[in-house]
Amino acid sequence: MSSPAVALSNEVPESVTGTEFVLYVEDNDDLRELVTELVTVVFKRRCVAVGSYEELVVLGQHVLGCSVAILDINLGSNRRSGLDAYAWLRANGYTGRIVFLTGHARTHPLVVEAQRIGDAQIFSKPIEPDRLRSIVEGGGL
Amino acid sequence: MTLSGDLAARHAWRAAFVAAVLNTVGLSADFLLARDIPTMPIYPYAMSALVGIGLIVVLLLRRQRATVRLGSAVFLVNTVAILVALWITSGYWAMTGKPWTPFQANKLGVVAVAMLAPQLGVGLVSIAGFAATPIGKFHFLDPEVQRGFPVGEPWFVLIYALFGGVLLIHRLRGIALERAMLRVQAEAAAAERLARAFVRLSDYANTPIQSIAFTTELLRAKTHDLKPTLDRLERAVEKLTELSHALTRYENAHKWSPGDESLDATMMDEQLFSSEARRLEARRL
Repeated sequence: MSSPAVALSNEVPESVTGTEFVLYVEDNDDLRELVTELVTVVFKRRCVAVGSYEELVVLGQHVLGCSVAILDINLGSNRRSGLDAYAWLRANGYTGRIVFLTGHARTHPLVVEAQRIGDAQIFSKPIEPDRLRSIVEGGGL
Repeated sequence: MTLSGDLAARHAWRAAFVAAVLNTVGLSADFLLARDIPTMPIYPYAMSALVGIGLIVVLLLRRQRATVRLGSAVFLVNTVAILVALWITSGYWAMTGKPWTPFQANKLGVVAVAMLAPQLGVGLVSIAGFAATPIGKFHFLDPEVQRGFPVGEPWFVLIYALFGGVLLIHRLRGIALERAMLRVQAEAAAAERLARAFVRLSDYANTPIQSIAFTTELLRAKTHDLKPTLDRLERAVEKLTELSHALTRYENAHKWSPGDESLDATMMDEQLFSSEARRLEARRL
């Protein structure tokens, strides 16, 4: 398993708050590192990226100041899902935007469950980089 | 062979087998009942029973290669053997001078055909045979013998034939309906498996496609030297995305079962794909 948190500078800043911070939860190492790099290098934002629900919980209060949270729905076999991550964030007072990203079909039970959540948007992989930019920058989706 | 074709062949084989057994057993029993008639020849019974035994042997030998045509042919030959035997023996029964219910075996034959015939044509021909031979035989009998027949004979056999024909059609239509339903169910199951495979394939491909798309964007931001190459890569990603979307068009045909929706199923798929990837890698080395 990778380190508890994979962030831009391999460290989570003391104060993660403001529109420049993006939380990304994704179990695929390659994609997680790619998005982290894309967000920081191209979109000029800072990214806190974790690979699992457990890693998210370890970071705890540090991530609650992010302006947007991008959650992969399926975080691995027999692992807590992105829906659990969503529930944890909301339960801990996270007020930012939450977006689900999924490679699953719209009819997959987890995706159907995510669709029932009123305040989170769902996007199907693959999304275009411009769409990711819109998500990160908080523009029109 | 298709499921439906296989069922039809097996059904025809079984029908012919039962008919041959009934011929052998039934004509042997008829001979035992007729042994008190001094002039009754044995050869019609022996001929029909031996034909029945021979057909049983043929069917057993061809059991693994059964076809509807074989079953129907055997059924028809069996019917002809019985009709020939009954044509000969019924004359002797009629001339005993003792009370006799005419053409019982023919009437029983009509009912048996209605219950067993593997195909409509074979069944109708057989019923017509069982109905026509008593009437034909009646006209060859001595007028004195004819006058000894119960009222309405030999025409009652036509009523049997009518009922037998209706029952035969009813039975075969029921079988055809069941086979059609089986075929539809099999097709639906195949479509479901295909939809499931497509959805899984799409699920599996989406994250790698996403990685390629983001890598392309990242490279585009880092260097301008690769623009033509990255443009081609981007077009390839668009094609792969279209393919993935095309695969998900079948997602509504896939009903998620409890086993499918668990994440274990995803892991199983990934393991399957990974093992295939390893196999291809080993082949390259």
